[in-house]
Amino acid sequence: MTAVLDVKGISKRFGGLAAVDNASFTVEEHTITSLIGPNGAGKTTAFNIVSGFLKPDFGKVTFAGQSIEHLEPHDIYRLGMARTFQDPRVFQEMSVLDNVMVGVRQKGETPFWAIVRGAEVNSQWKAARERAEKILESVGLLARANEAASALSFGEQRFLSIARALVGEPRIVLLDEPTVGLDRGTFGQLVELMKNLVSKERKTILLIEHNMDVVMSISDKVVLMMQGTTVASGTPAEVRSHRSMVEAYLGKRHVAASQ
Amino acid sequence: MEYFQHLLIMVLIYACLTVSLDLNIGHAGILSFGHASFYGIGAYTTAILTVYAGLDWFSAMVLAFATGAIIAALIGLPTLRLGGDYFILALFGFSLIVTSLIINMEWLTNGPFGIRGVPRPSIGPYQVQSGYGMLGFIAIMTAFIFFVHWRFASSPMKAALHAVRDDESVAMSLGINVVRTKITVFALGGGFAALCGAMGAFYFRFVSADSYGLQTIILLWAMLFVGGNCSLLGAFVGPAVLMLFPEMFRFIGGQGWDIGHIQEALYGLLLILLMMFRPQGLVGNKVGLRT
Amino acid sequence: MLLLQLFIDGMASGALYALTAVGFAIIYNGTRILHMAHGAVFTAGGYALYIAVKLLNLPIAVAVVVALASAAAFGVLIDLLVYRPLRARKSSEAALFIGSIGALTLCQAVFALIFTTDTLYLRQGPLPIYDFGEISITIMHIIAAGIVIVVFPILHLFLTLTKYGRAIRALADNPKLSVVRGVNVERLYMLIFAIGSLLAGFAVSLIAYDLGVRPEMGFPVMFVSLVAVIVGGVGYLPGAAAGAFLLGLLQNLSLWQLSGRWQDVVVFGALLIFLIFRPAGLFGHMLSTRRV
Ligand SMILES: Nc1ncnc2c1ncn2[C@@H]1O[C@H](COP(=O)(O)OP(=O)(O)O)[C@@H](O)[C@H]1O
Ligand SMILES: [Mg+2]
Repeated sequence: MTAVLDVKGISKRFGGLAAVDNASFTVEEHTITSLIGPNGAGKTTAFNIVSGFLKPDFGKVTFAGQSIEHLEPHDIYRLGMARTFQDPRVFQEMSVLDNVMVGVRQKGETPFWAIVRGAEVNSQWKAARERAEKILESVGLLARANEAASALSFGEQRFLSIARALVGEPRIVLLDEPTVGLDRGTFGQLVELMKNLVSKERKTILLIEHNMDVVMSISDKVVLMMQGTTVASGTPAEVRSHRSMVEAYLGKRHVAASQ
Repeated sequence: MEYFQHLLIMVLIYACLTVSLDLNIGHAGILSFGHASFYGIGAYTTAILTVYAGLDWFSAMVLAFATGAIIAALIGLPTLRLGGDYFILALFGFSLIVTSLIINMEWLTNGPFGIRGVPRPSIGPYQVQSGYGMLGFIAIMTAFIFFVHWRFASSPMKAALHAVRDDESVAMSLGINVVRTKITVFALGGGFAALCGAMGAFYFRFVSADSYGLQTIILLWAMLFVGGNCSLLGAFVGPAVLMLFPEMFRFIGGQGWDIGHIQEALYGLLLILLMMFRPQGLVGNKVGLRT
Repeated sequence: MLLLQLFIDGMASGALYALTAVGFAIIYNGTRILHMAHGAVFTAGGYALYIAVKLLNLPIAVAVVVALASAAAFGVLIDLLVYRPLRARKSSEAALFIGSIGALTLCQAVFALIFTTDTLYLRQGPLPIYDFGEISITIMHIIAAGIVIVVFPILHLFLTLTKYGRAIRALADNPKLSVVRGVNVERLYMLIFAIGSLLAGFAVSLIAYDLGVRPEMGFPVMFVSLVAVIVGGVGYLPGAAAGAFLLGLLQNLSLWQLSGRWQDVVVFGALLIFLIFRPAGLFGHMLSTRRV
């Protein structure tokens, strides 16, 4: 297996606080890699560095063989990496379908081609719509495509935000705590969706997740972060067997949950 | 009848200005509190190029658009990344500087006296005359400007703009170049406002600095918010209401009261009441209005 | 010598801007409203002084108290009639700004309808001038300095020692609170608008007495004050005062090399430069612009 994403020694300080401190990990293609660690460990900050929202003070990020730590978020998206945020952050006033279609980059969104149109612009637009509908169907929201996104429940908005990240056909998606706030039913649905993305759609997922059951059951690889540093990484079984370490940093509750 | 023609032309010019302001405020969330300056820049560019440089009307109009767009891009480049309030102030500061420069750069603008004698447009041998000819010319320009804005608002460009307006971080996470999008749309707003300036210059055949200051800025905002954000219809309704409504006072006739001040008082009151009871405007969509 | 004279004039106008700017800053820091109608409050104070002096024939000291009280009341009234209903509807900052523009436009027009657009003068003849060699100082210079020297320390004591003053400062640190130190925020807003407007009242009393009253006199002063708040750094009152003095000096010292008609370009050029290169202002802490 080749590492599609290679993060080497990244660090980021906010004032005096080292939010990320010499963290390294790799993500192999067509796998699910989970980033775990207590609150404030620097997982979201690491996401922000990888996706271009923050420039690291030190370190390198290589995606598909290209170094990207100096690139802007929109460039990184165009290279095939999409992300979600901890909150769904859907565009409340847009329709559900429009929300998803925002994720499709196309010629017709530049002023000149918006005026002139032409066959290519129109067919791109049509294709974007079809793809958005297909993805909405896969997350179970197609029936509500024309409603305002604000009409959706929190859980549905979470699915919408994931659909929006998927519509551009990224190679890798970064999901920041996607299961938080979901009820039992939708929770299972989301786990299924993630599994399918990897097994059927051949995507790669980098996941921040607190629920150890999910982490242990779907991850191919687990990376443990503590105080900004990656302290362990390996298969779920391997990381679980770092029992004393997990206990020391995560507390007994997480250990219990992981068994 | 002539007066009615004049009113109609004014409503059309203001409708074009409003729709270009809506592109910035309504669609892109760029609170351009200096839009009137681009209108002024377009008017002066047209007047200088036709009267002093002897250029033909069409080239002058195209260059007016380009000048408005380029100046907007240049001022937008450093200021568009500022937060809401700061951007409002920066743009208003810019518009005060523009007014001051127009008045002070006498060698170019003839200072406070303005520039007279802007030629009428002509097509081949046919010269647009005042009256219906001018109304027709302005109507054609209006149709063109509204067509362009309709194309913007009915294309994938709209979704990209609204994404930038509503959540810049999410927009960039989806591959939208936020900085470039904002500068482009701000430049377009400036360009179209300048085009309106050219239309005004051809109609009045005269430009002067005092028509592009705070009063005009507020009038344009009032027109946009009376009509409503993100609405082509609203861009007509706002100017129509604000231009025609005060005309009633001419017939009622407030004794000795200055009609201009009654108008202004009404604009002010209308803005307050709209924000309280109908922030989306008379026919606008329930969107926009955010910092 | 000319330079020294311009420096003194600059400090005097700086003092007047400082009063308006600190008033504006108190309101902005606590409410985050871009209170353009501060200009109308300013003008209202001027007309109140005019009425008290010319129509009611009150002694000047009493008239100034009337003007101060009127300005404070007018500011509170704008908050109650315009901003409070908008806050109750959870309006966006942009909607509040537009409401503020509406209030400014409405008030200026009403002033023009009542008092005409002519400048109304409160006095005739020249003011006492004290000459020191080539430097001359008017009584207005002295009063402006006196007001600043008295008012700002009192304001400082009020903000640091009293319960309400501390609540105002706490609100400035976190404008989203609804109850600050046991004080309901809506009541605190009334106090904030009263104090902010009162400070503008001091400035306008001097200007109106010196130069007369016009309906749109408040706007330029308000806007320069607003620029001063930015230049000084939002969130820090002494910064607003410093910014005001800086702009007063800049305006007057620019006369040394440029004619007065370039003043706008100088002042607003300074605004643009600050916004572009140092948006946190002279003393401001960089308002952290978190992108995520
Ligand atoms: N933009 C920021 N500015 C300042 N501090 C931040 C910023 N983002 C995160 N932090 C701090 O960095 C640390 C790591 O945060 P985060 O990456 O969100 O952790 P996690 O996602 O693992 O819970 C926390 O202490 C947080 O408060
Ligand atoms: Mg996090």
